[in-house]
Amino acid sequence: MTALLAAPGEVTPDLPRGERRRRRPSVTFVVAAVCLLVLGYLVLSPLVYLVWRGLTTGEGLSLANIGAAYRVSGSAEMVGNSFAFAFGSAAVSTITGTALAFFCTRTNAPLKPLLYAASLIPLIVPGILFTISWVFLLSDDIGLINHFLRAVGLDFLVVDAFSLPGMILIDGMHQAPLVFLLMFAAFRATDPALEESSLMSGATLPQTLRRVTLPLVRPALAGAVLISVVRGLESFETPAVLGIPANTWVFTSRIFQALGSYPVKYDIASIYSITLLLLTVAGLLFVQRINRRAERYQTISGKGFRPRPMDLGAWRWPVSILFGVYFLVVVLLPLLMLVWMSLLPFYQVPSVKALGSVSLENYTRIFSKPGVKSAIQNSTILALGSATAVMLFMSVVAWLTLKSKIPGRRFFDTIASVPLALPGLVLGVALIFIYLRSPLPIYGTLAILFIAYITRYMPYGMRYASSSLAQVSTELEDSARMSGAGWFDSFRRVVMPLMMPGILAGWVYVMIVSIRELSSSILLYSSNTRVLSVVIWELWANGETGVLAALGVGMVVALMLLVAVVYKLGGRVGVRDA
Amino acid sequence: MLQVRDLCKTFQDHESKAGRVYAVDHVSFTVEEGKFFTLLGPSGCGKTTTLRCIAGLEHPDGGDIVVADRVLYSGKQKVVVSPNDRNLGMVFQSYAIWPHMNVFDNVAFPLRVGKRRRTPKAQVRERVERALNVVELGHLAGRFATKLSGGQQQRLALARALVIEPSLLLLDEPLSNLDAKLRESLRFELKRLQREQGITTVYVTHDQSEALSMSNSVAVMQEGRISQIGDPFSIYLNPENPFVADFVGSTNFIEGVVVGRQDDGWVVRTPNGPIVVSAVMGVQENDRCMVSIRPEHIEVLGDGSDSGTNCFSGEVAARLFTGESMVYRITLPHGELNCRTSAELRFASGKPVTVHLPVKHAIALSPKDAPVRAPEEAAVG
Ligand SMILES: Nc1ncnc2c1ncn2[C@@H]1O[C@H](COP(=O)(O)OP(=O)(O)OP(=O)(O)O)[C@@H](O)[C@H]1O
Ligand SMILES: [Mg+2]
Repeated sequence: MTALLAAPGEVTPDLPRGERRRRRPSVTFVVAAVCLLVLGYLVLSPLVYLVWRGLTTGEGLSLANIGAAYRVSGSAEMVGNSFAFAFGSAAVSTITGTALAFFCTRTNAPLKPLLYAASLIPLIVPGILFTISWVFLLSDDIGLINHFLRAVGLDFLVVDAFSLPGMILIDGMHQAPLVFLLMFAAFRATDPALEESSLMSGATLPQTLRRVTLPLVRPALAGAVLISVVRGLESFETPAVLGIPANTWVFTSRIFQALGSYPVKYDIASIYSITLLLLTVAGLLFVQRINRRAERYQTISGKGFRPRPMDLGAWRWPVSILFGVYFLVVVLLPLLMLVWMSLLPFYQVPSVKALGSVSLENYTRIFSKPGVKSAIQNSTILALGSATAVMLFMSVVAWLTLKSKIPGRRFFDTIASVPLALPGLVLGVALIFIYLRSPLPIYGTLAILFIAYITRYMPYGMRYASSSLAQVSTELEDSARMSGAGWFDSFRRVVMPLMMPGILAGWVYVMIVSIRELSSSILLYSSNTRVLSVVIWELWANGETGVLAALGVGMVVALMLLVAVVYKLGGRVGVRDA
Repeated sequence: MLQVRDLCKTFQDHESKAGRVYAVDHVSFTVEEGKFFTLLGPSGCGKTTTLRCIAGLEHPDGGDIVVADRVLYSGKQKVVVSPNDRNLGMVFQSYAIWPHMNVFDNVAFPLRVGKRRRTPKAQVRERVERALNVVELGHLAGRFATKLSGGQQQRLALARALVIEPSLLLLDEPLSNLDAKLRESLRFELKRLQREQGITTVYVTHDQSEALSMSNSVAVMQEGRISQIGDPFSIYLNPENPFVADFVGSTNFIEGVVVGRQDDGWVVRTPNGPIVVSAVMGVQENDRCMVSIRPEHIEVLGDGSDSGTNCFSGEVAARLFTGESMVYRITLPHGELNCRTSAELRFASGKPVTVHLPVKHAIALSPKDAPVRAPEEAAVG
């Protein structure tokens, strides 16, 4: 042993007194406690209130409400419709979405870029606008497509928008891009060598599809179907716009009706909400189980592989035409119809004669409508506010989940994900129950909408924040701590800037979905807190389609500009590549 | 300067019975002011964990850490100083250069946060420039950090650690991400810097030549424990156990039994005949032992040229030309030996030779903690 080193205990005197004992809780602990409180309040209080309201009557705890709610005439039919609608639209969206994703990832079909556009744009177009423009494409008497089909003698293909099949078709098309994105990711993650080796073993292409490709993506496919079913159960716009006039009721429209009637039927609304909630929770728990099992199927290896496209041969062009039709139907037709509607004082089926009455008058009339200006203002404030709040909050929660060492940190992620299973309308019902009696005077203010939006979009913010945080190496943060930065400094000056691309993407996403939001807002707005989607709803109810369309076109253009600008900026924010 | 006593750190492990495994198991050492201390050991032996405990980035389960008479951690006294208050400099294996800042801002960061946040601007500038000049990056101050080469990033990380004038510098394999040539030159650079700045340094590496060439003293770690502490010479020349002998450099092991003293050495009985060794470590007369002798110390002679002490005849099984030397594998009647000789000496495969194991380089070690090896490499016996 050298002079440098002394055996332990030989040289060193007793330890000097610790200069500072750890009495006060650490910063991380305080941050975690605050986050847990806020999360718990946002997520758990609506659930608790909803259940409590549903299971109590004037005399106390009882199950009487359940019986009462399901004894209302037509409730059996309503439950049947709900399932038919949810499964039907899931079938439509899964079949189209999966087929397109397959052709897009695995084959050499041309026109693929159209599909990327087709998967992004429906995200931007609010559901209510999509549905309304489809009314003018597919309704029995004035629907453009139906006119066309009758003119060419294909009467048997005519579907009425105001019917269950029409609702299924339209909602299915609106969901298809979501399935496309899910399946796109799944197909990209499976190694094409597995298919190639099947082909090399002598299997034909259809055999390979059936015996190799499909089994490999089966977990993802099952997940996509279930998510679509859950979405179908939650869907409000289509059942409200198309179902109510057709007297085809589902859970969401019944809840809406119960709260809009006089006297207000809170009991029925709460029981139907609880039922719907149980269904969506069950569905999503099932999805989670599938995903967990799917991990065994994962064929993503460390090695990168470039999927080599299959040659479709003579089928290239038919498949491309399919792409074209899809793009036309899902993206182009609804948007063009909206533009057309906005140019006419009252709706006419497109024709040369109708061209004569085209004018921009509707656009000038937008602002003369009472409440539109304040709705634009409200929507902007809410979208900016909730996007910023969600992303800031979720960045911290993601940090707690992924990087902190507090016990039970995974729990944060779980709570923040719960609202995924909370239909917007159900959240609205629960918030009404809370704030009608809460001493907090926010009922009828923007604050209640703000709470609803934050709660609904937390899970999405969490996904964006945690996936970008996962890519930030812990050492980057450790070195900030070693440099003397406290928790707050290292979070603000190192972690946040490095997460910026993900935060920005999540911010745009939450902005867009907040502006589109209808199903919670429709229950929570008051006369001076209207938002854009509610104004559109009211214009629709009043039959003012021209102004509605003009406002819709304005919204879509503004949202697209927002996306374009932010993605352009996104290149300059955050990490500079070497 | 730095005292670490009985440091322990466990991690959860669902496979082990106790549910926890020791990553650092009662580690103690002391580093004097201005010295360069190295933790050396194979992958997973707990070097990084030890360093991170000193840094405050891991929370130890017990022990004491004292730097310059200031208790940074004490399990008994329940003292935990958070990493940002420890005033230590650290360079990470990945360098952890912040990609959203330029070179200047990276180095200035420590002066702009925490307790030092009130450093006047002019002083920040002056200190950053001084730190950058020390590592010869002054001319790149405005460049974006991600645009630097690997070696430059490494020096930038060093400048950032030095700018706060830390009481202790912690380096976690700072050279392992670089190519061989650069590694060699930065080794000298780092050593020069450390000596010029007179900064006490704890260095972590799994590269034995790095450890031996740079350190004032080396601690060899194995499975969370310190196997031997000493200066580079004693670690290399007088390993106290077979693990150190084998990990630091390479060695041949020959199993045997200690017979007794002879002159100023000891005699060990082996299947190939008696071997005289210069020292025994942890074994006594009649104990089983492992004779350790390094390949470069074995002399390979022509057939029948000598039959004195520690000479054995064998046959060349294979040879390997590495440029600077020739490596032979020589079969003895019982087992094999690896020998490294100068490149001029050439014996063809299959040629009978005599090997001489110089007494002063042969030592007998306790077989207890012998490293486990693949069968074909197994000790000669
Ligand atoms: N966060 C952790 N959770 C669980 N086990 C850990 C954790 N960090 C380290 N370990 C375990 O502790 C042991 C020591 O790890 P450590 O990183 O200190 O090794 P090392 O000596 O630095 O190795 P290397 O040379 O590969 O960097 C390893 O067995 C490792 O698996
Ligand atoms: Mg390490």
